[in-house]
Amino acid sequence: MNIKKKLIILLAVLSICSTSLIGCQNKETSKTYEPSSTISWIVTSSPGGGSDIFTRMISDIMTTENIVEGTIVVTNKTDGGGEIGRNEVAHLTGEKANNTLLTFNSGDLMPMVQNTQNRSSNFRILAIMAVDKQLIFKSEHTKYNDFKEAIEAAKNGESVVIGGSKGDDIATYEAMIEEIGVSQDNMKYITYDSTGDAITAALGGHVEFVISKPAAASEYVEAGLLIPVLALANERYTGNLADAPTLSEIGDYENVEIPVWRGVAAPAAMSDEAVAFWSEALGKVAETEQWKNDYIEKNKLIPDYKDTVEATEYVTQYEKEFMEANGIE
Amino acid sequence: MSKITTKKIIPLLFIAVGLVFAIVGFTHLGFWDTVEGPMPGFFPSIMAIVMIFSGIIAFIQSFKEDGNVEYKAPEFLVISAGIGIFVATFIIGLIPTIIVYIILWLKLFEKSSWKNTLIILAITLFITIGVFGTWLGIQFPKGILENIL
Amino acid sequence: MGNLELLLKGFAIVLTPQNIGAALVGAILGLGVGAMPGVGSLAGVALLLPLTYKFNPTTAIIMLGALYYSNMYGGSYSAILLNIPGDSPAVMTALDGYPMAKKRKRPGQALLTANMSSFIGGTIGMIILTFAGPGLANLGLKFGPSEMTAILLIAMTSISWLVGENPIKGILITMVGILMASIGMDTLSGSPRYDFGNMYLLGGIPFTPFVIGTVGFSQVISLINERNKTTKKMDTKLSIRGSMLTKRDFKRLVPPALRSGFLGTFVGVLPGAGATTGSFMGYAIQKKFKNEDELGTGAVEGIAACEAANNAAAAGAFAPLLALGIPGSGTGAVLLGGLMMWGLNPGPLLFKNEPDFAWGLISSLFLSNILTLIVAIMVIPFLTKILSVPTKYMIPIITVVCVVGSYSTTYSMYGVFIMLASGILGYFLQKNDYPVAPMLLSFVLAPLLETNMRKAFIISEGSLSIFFTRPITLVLMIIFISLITVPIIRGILGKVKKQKTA
Repeated sequence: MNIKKKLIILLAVLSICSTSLIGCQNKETSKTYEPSSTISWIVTSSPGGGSDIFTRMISDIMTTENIVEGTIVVTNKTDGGGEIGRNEVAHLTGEKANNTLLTFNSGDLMPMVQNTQNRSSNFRILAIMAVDKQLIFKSEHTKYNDFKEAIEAAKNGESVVIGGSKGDDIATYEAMIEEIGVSQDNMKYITYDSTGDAITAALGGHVEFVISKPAAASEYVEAGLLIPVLALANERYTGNLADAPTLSEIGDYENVEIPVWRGVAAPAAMSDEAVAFWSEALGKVAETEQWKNDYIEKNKLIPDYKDTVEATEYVTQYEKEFMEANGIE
Repeated sequence: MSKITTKKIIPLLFIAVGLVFAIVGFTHLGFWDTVEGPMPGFFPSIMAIVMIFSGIIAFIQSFKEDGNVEYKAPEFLVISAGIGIFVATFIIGLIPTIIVYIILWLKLFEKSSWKNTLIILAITLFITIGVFGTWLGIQFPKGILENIL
Repeated sequence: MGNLELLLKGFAIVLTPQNIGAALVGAILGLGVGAMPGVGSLAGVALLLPLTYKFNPTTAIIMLGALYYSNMYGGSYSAILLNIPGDSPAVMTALDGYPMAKKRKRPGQALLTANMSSFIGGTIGMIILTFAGPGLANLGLKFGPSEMTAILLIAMTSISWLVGENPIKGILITMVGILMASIGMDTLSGSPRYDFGNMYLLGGIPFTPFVIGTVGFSQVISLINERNKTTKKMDTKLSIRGSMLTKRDFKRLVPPALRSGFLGTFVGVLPGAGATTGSFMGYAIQKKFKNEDELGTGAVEGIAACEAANNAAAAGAFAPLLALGIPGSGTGAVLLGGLMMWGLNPGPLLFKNEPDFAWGLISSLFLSNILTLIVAIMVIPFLTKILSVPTKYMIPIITVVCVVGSYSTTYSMYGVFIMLASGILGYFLQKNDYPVAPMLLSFVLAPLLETNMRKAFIISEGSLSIFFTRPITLVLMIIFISLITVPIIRGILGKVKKQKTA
């Protein structure tokens, strides 16, 4: 190699270095936020589950629709039931705080508030993407014709067993029996690891009723194995779930509706510019056809995008009510 | 008169663990509910009590057992190496730690030739970076250096 | 149309070059993933799921099915060659596989035994699945908390067959496993227990790093003493021919494999039991049968019993998955998620609405079973070369694999910490003649037993009657009670007889 060639290479290397340096400086001095080339997105539950699919769907849309340039790396941090991951994200600082996202659902918030000192105020809530509600289903083995009968039986001292999943479902169950006015001993709740396990138990006749979100139960309703008997919502569902009355329809009760929300959060130290950027980016995702068809429609969710301001308010209120209901200081 | 050996320490240790689990189980977690039946502390507490009793018997038996367990120094070297890898990962990250570990272990402890050291290093890095890192897409921790770079 | 006809139709769909290619790729990838400690089939399927989005659903599920299935083969490799179980069902394989490879100097035969029994077990599972899938799935539904409690009690008694010479040490170590497993979130009450205020302990002790530590890393610690022994040139030939099983091996392999095949399929169908429970039970039951070599010393029967059960359970788990949309395991859940991503609705209507797909999947399992066996046998000569690497070089390599593998299970150093801690624990336990297998077994079974028992009590309002009024439960309870009382009565009778004759 001659000297000329070496010089050219040296110059090229130098110029690349200098431009990248200037690039860095630009980023720091200017007020507008640009996401870095790799974004880290933490999911605190295992691959393949609902939160994981939610996250991968959004990150997929963000890259294919060019809402965010660069790559989004989704990492599942399941240590300590997800608390470790949430705690880590809450305390990130510096440039990393601007480039880290966290999938944050009502089902994450409840155990976090119950079992740790971590609170939603330790995060920036970027957006809420969708809301889900539950219904109660019976199977062919259930001895009650409808839920009204079951309520009466419970009031007469019989024991009615309801199965369901963790977190959200328990909160809804508790709100419901408080409204009905029966004790937890007469209308019992068995916690299963997942809604799927609870449905299995209902199909086998081991629990009388099962509480589930529409998506997980839909196929069984279609096949006639599960029958919706109560909508835990302010109004009836449509389609094959339309037969289920709300609580106010079957007696002198208020409707019970505990919305299950899916959202995205970020470290508390994320800058305002970055928060605005991500909140808007998630809003764009919520507008895409892919999101509407492949996620919302498919999972029978209610599209309910809330930007960072609305979402923060909403989550704070939700947390407050949850803590009051459970007597958490 | 026999000396205090691990044969005796292990049952004693298990008895202690059993005590902690039984006490926490009974006092904090709840044992039996008249309506619900067993509470979270029910099962573990019973098991802990079984453990305490079998620990006591094992402790008594240990006096009859003859022959000491022999521990050799190199065995503890492996353990310290493991702990060393764990600690060093937090500082310099997992991949550099592995490189340093392989070189130090083979050169200083095994006194291997550079050629063999490098071959083993290449194999290990192929497994970690090639298979786990690239193919399975696992991201390794970079230690505190990550924040500086 | 009969099921056989439908299956043949399924084959017609599956046997296209593209699908065979996909199954082959899946088989190879699955073997690789399975052999890597720490990355179980769950992570393997989850990680490779995105790869398959580009294919049509049938091809994609064929690839995933093959991958899931060959994973079960792969798990035994590192168990046999390195004594590090690649996944949790392979824990039992290591008990006999490693001694057979190392002490008996028959690594090729050990691998081939594992593969052949996997094949036999899997085939049995698939045949049952083909003819009785929906029926079995419905039978599985009948198993509620009380039935599962009874089954798990029977399974727990099988631990006593693994205990070894000193029963007290066996009981002690079983309890250690149970208490360790009770750390973490208690699902039924939704509150943490035994977390001692530590956030990591909230999630409990992850099983895979725990296994890698107690079996694998503790092994490395003891291995150091052998590093200066000049490794004798392996007298076994490192070829497929040199790995061939003798007629005698084959005769020893088939009965346990058949038995475990049926048992495993059944366990696989049960809700929440899974391949790990299957292989544990297969192995424990084998203890009750006649074995040419004692189990644990490298017996062909031991490898065959657990590997066949493991693969049969994997096949059996497809019954509730396909017929009812119920995933029997975490991996099943991911597969289910995959199905939904392709716009298929798994569930009770799958066979009715998508017969091509459902039967295509079942026939693809047959296909991948054969393909995996072929691939697995082909790689044996390369794999056994691992054993000719001198011990002193193996030590650092295995250490690194243990660290990286346990990191990969939870993507965190917590996994590595658990691996090291349980490795040190396992080392001290083995040094002091405590058997480790009962601890691992109870770690898996005890939480299942506890939650099922408590669910049963919630349903019965704290009354024991639930265990004796339901027909299936009653039968199982009678089996359980006779299992514990018969040996005692026999013991007493034996003593009485002795006294009389004396």
